[in-house]
Amino acid sequence: MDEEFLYGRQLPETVISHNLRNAPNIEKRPAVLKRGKYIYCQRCGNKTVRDEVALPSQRYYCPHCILLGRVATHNLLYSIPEPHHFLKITSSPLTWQGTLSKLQAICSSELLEVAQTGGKHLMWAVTGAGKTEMLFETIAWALQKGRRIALASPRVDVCNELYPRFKQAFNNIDIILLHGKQNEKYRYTQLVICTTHQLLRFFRAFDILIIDEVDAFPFVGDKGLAYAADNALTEKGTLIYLTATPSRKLLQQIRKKQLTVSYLPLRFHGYLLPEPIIILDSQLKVFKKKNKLSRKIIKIIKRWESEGYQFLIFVPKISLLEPVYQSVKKILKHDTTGTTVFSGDIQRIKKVSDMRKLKYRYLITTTILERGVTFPALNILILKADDTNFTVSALVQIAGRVGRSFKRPEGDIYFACSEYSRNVKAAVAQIKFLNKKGSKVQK
Amino acid sequence: MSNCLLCQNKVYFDFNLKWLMSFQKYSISKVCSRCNDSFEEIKASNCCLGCGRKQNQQMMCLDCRQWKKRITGELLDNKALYVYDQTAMRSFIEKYKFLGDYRLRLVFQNKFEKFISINYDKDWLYVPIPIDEETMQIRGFNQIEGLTTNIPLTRVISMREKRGRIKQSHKNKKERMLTKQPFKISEQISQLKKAKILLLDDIYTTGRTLYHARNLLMQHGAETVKSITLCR
Repeated sequence: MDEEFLYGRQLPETVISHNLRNAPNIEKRPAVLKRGKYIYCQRCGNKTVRDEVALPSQRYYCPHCILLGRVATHNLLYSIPEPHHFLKITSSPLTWQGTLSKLQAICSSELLEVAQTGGKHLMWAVTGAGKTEMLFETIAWALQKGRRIALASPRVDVCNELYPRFKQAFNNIDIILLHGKQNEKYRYTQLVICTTHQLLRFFRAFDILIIDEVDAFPFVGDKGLAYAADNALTEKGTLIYLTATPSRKLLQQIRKKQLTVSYLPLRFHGYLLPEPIIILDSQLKVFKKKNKLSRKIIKIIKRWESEGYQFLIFVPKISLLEPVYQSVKKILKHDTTGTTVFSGDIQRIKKVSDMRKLKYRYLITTTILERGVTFPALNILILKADDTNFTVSALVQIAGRVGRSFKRPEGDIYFACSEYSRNVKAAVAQIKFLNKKGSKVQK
Repeated sequence: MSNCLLCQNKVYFDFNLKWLMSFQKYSISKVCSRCNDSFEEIKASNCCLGCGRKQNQQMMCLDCRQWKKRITGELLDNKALYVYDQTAMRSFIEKYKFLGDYRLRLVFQNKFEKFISINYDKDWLYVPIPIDEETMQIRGFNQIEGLTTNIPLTRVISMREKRGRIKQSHKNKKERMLTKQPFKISEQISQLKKAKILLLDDIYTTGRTLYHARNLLMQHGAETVKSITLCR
């Protein structure tokens, strides 16, 4: 193993070779600290009641980050301070040919400014605003300055989607993609794309850390991951959050001036967000018993079939996928193919890419596809939108899948629910609010 | 209220009249009912008499007939609680044994201890299968001893080699069967004379490990050797 392996990382001795442990500038610190009744994990920052995680040998381990390999009180975390050993880049590394809209360009230069000064920043841009493109300028600048950059997201799908786009935009730059389901060996690169869990393996490595979809599970509600993000950042680094649906906590931080914000209420093609149409359908309540969709919904699906666009149908629970699929299949022609996708699906990534290749006309899915995936021309129906599994941000995100291409900036988005619930109301209100802001800028 | 050890969902205690009148202690289960149901139990009426594998009839399976030819004396008559080759159990073993999440011993501890003491009473010596020093260093616990903390164990066998052994889980069936005797008697030999011994292990796969242990104990004068494993 080379020393490079540990630049800006923190790994227990169990995964590094013997010769590396004695490298000259290596730093060691205990992985888990004992304090009274509790133990504190130095990797993920979580505290645990000591007695619950005692090993017979009077050692204590952290159960929170165990999926990355167990660390206990006898383990040490090894790291070598980030040296920024990168090849000097003289000309702009950006090979992206596109142009930014006027609004995008403003946001982009705001980001660049933050990256130069440091601090925490939120970019609040509607779904399909072209967030990724707005990052290019900043990243190109940072690459030239020899800074180390990471782009992290809580969701694997988002990372998988971002990776090829960045490969294309920075053709000559070596980028590594890190997540738990991937077998590529780690190598030292200036630009890293990874899941937020992988940040737990880094220590003061990145001068610029961008977290896409901060409001997504599991980043929300996991203190360990926020700790990991802070830990992976260098002391004077810049942390940039990207989201279309900021959580209450983030909005609070803006009010307290702990977080700066730039704002983009219009999509990249300059059109407004498609506003959801609510269908009140009492038959949904008894769907499980009868396995039959109501006439209103059948009519919509049949219309979509004849129009020829692809469509997604979202359901709140995995157990509903199969019955909905069966009843949708029944009303469509034989050559209109579709399938179901859910989180535990082994073929999930393949099915999504097949959908993109137009092998399927429709997918029935759960909230797993709520964000990060882009199909050019879509129609969407959410069944049981009033179910508690659909949070406000999930509904806004799903609605944001529609109308994401120049060719078809509009599209149908239906919320089918048996009750007009608070979440549905709030989601529609949020979209309308953004559109109001957007239409002001439009003029 | 607490969280399920396997899926982190909330586990609730069902406070009802029946519980109140039973004067039982308040004890909340460590695993939610959904995770609990995901494991496939083996019924005593539907398994192989030699190794405890699940099958439709209560008779000797092919592997056990092979064992019968290979050894002198009786088979181990292994009994197992659960089916191993199934998603939930495989992922449990992966997390408990290989990731080293020691808390997970509590998922089966009570049930496994009960299973042992119901089938074999106190006349039997409970002997756990050992692990080598290197594994102990890394893992920090013996997986089978974690499952049997509250019953008296007699640790009479240990590994011959301290380190560098290729684990059974990294081998295929043929390689497993060719494994040489990995155990030695560590102490208390007088105890073994005419003793009735129950071997304890987490998984019975080919039976090679357990039969090695059995042969060794028989050589040292044990009267009978049987076994119980968590899964088969």
